[in-house]
Amino acid sequence: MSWVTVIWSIGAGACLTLAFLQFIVWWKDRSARANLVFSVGAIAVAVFAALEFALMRAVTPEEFGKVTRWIHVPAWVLIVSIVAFVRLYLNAGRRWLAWSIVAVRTLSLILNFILSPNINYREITAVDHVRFLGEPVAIPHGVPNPWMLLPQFSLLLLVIFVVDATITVWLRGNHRQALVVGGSIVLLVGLGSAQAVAMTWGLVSTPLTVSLFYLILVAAMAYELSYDLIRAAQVNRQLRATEAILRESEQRFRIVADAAPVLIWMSGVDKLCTFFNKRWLEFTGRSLEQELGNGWAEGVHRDDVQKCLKTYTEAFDARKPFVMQYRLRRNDGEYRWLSDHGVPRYDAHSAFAGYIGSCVDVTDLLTQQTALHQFEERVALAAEAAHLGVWEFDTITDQIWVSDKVREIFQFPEGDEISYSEFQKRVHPDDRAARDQLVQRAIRTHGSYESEYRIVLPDGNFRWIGGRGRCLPGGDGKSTRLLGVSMDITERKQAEELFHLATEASPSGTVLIDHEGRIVLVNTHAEKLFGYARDELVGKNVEILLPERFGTSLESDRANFFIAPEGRAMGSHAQLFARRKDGSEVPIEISVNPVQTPHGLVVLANVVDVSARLAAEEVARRSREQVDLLGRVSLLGEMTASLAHELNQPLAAIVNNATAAMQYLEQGRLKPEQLEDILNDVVADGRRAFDVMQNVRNAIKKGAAIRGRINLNDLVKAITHMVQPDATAHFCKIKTSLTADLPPIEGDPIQIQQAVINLVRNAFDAMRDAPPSRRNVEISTNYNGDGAIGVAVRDYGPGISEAIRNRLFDQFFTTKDEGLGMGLAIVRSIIEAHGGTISAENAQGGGARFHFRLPITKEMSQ
Amino acid sequence: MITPAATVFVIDDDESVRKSLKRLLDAARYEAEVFKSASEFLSRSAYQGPSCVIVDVKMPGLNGIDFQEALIEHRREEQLIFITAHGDIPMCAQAMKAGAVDFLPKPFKPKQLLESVERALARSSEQLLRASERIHARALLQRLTPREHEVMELVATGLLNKQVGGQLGMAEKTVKTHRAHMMQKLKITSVAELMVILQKAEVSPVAKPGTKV
Repeated sequence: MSWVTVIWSIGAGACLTLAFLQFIVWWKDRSARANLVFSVGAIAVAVFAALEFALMRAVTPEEFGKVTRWIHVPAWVLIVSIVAFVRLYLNAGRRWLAWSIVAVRTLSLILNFILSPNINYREITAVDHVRFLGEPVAIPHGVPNPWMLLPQFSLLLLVIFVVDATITVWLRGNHRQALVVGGSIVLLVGLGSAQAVAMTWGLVSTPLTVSLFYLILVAAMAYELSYDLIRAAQVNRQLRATEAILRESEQRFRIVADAAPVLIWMSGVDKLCTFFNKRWLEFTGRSLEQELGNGWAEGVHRDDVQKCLKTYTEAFDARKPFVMQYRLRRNDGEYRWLSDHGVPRYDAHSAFAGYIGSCVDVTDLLTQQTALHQFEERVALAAEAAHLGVWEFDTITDQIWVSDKVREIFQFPEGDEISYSEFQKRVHPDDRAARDQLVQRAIRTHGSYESEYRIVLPDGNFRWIGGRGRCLPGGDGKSTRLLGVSMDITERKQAEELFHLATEASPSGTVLIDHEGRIVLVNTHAEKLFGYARDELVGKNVEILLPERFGTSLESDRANFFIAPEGRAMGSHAQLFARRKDGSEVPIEISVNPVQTPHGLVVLANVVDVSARLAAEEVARRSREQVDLLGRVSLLGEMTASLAHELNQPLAAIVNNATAAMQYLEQGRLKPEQLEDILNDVVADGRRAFDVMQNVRNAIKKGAAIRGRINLNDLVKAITHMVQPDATAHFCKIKTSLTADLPPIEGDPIQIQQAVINLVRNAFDAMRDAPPSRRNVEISTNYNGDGAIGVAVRDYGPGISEAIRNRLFDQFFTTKDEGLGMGLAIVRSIIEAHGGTISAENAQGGGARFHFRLPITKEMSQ
Repeated sequence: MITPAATVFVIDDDESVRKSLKRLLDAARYEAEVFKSASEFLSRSAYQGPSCVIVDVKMPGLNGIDFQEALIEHRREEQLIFITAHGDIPMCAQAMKAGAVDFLPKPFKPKQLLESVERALARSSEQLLRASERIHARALLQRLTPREHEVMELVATGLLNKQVGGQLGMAEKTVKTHRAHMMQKLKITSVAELMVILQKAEVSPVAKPGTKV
């Protein structure tokens, strides 16, 4: 066996093996095209080696030429594959260079087959044998072809190309790769082509051993490629290890995620969800496959989907965490509110890997919140409606939260909470201490407080505020918060003050009584009137203010009053008296009015001390009495006043004239004409007087035309009351005996009244000298059923003497010193004008009895 | 001095009353003059002799009481007798307090009226007398020189001549001289008489401090 055979065989075999190996690599990974190209190249080198061997065994020049010609084919393949390899593996080298190399080599190949014998030689003259490695090998002798330069040129191009690529790779930083690949190609290709040229041009007497060089190249490239393979295996191993670890941690994560009480999800860099924990899947009742990607969004409530996705997307793009709430359909079909909190996550290399998030079912919380919110709203509305301001005071922070109403009332500016000291500034200095005390005590005792106080507003105005506060129970029994309401009570206070001022300023006594008869309030005047101090009266029953004899009716009066409360005067039929503290009595008038207060119905009693008035009235009455000789009450008084005047004039004149006449007569100076004059005047005056009386009678008659239904009993009762002061003044007592069920008469009540009063007054005068015990005036009414009612006035005076009995009712008849004698005459006129009769007689047991009868029929005298 | 005769004036708005009163007074031999209204009377100048006025209280225009007030205002000293058809007691009281002689309600007894008239005229005369005495006394006093007047005043208070001199800063002798002159002029001889004159003149002696009065 020759060494050449061995070496060239081994060489070819190695190439083929390597080619095979790299081919498998490519087969497994079609993207490993460099490997394919390599294997092609390696095969080409094997073929080249084989042909080179054939060359060495060539005998004839034709054989040599033919082989040399055919050796260009694997050479072409090799060159092209080197170019391709460089491009694919190094990913470098200019394209145009690559293509030009291919073009040139292809051209030279074509030329090679055109030219004879081949492109290398013009002519091969002889084949020599030399000793090479202990055996003879063929060496050509011939004329080299200048066209050989063309393939050499392509090799040159190749070198340039590879150098250029190498530089690129070097600059890339991949020094090792650049050197190994680029360097080896350049070197070996250079060497190979140098040897080929040298041999062809007869410079050296060696066979073509280019394939050896290429063999080395192949080996180098194979190493290079293997290097990657080895590395890949290493990486793979690492990867597997890392993967194992990762899987382990993923496992752990999954366990944790599934155990968590929250819903957990994960998404990748593409926003699509990659994971949902067990809870999520249980919650939705769907499978993982259904939820993955964007499948989960199907469970989101229609109204929330848009917002949900938008929030997620926006946060995702910004790589920011987010919180959002949306409704997710639960496995039972109900939509529950979830609060979803998502954060971006990063891998081991701190690269963004997607999002991870957790969700909590907040439905109940939200419901509570809504309920609370609604409740708060309702409270605010109610407070608003009641003009209440609501506030909450936190004693720890010393801040008070105030509602808008409070701000309005207190004129606090918009904005933050108010500090306690700021609040205190508003409170009136005089009220500050007291109010603060109440509040502090409430805080200490965990209780509540109520206070009314004044505030001073920034614009200088005062307002009254009614405030109520209550401690809110805090943790461990201590209360740190007060909740309260404040209300503007200025109007009420002003009204109260006004009422207070009014009652105090009242010129009469004011007493306020509740429905149980207890005194609630008295004013200063009442204090003075009753002689008590205020606090001695408040709370006591009103009975203590009245004499005992009024006590019984008071209860029923009061009960009646409260059943149908309305303002009225009390005691219209009898004079009321007040009982002072010292027991003395004061005549009073009371008027009562119901007052509705927040505490119920109370009675406002106005008490006036009428003693002064009564005294004044009495004085007035007396003076009137003194002044008027004939009568004291309206019609008759008026009549008699003018009557007096009208009569007195002519009467005085008559008296004067007569006296004058008599004087003249005595003196003997009376002349007839004078007398005539005088008598004429007297007659005239007499007539005048008569006319006056006539007018009076007419006036009475005219008066009688005023008709009314008169109940004589009522009339007598009224008269009795009316003349009571007179009776008292004369120390007389009036007794009445009235027949019941008197039919009414028709007439002028005033005139009848005057008539009776006249009779009664006469009775008083008659008894002037009688002993006080006997001074009784008895007025009686009776009805005999004979169509007329009788009224009698009886006194216990001296009675009527026989002499004057007939003249009693005559005009100008009087027994009184100052009287004019008109009273009874007028009485008679009145009675007769009503169709009645009057007479007088002495009564049994002393005294005079005047009685008149009035018909109950409509007939009246003319 | 011859005083005019006593006259009775009547003021009443009622004609009958007026006429009858004149007759009555005439019959009683009084001089009488009647007036319809008080203002008519007032427009006449005051009567010089003793007089009285019978006046009705209730009259249209100036009534009796107002009339009385007017007289007082004008310092006229007529004596008044009120008559009235009404018998107003308060008015009566008021009238009497203001100085009326009497107050008679109509119809009055003529005798009563005439008595009142008599009283009124007497009063009037007295008054006139007093008035003339006053004038007379004052005229006398007028005669005194200022110094004599001073002396007189102090003498009237009861001072001795020496004291008077001390008060006035005069010598006693000078005082005596003045005093003599004064007495002469006044036609008096004693201090008592001096008092009378002063009284009549309705001049009160001036008491100087420190003097015993």
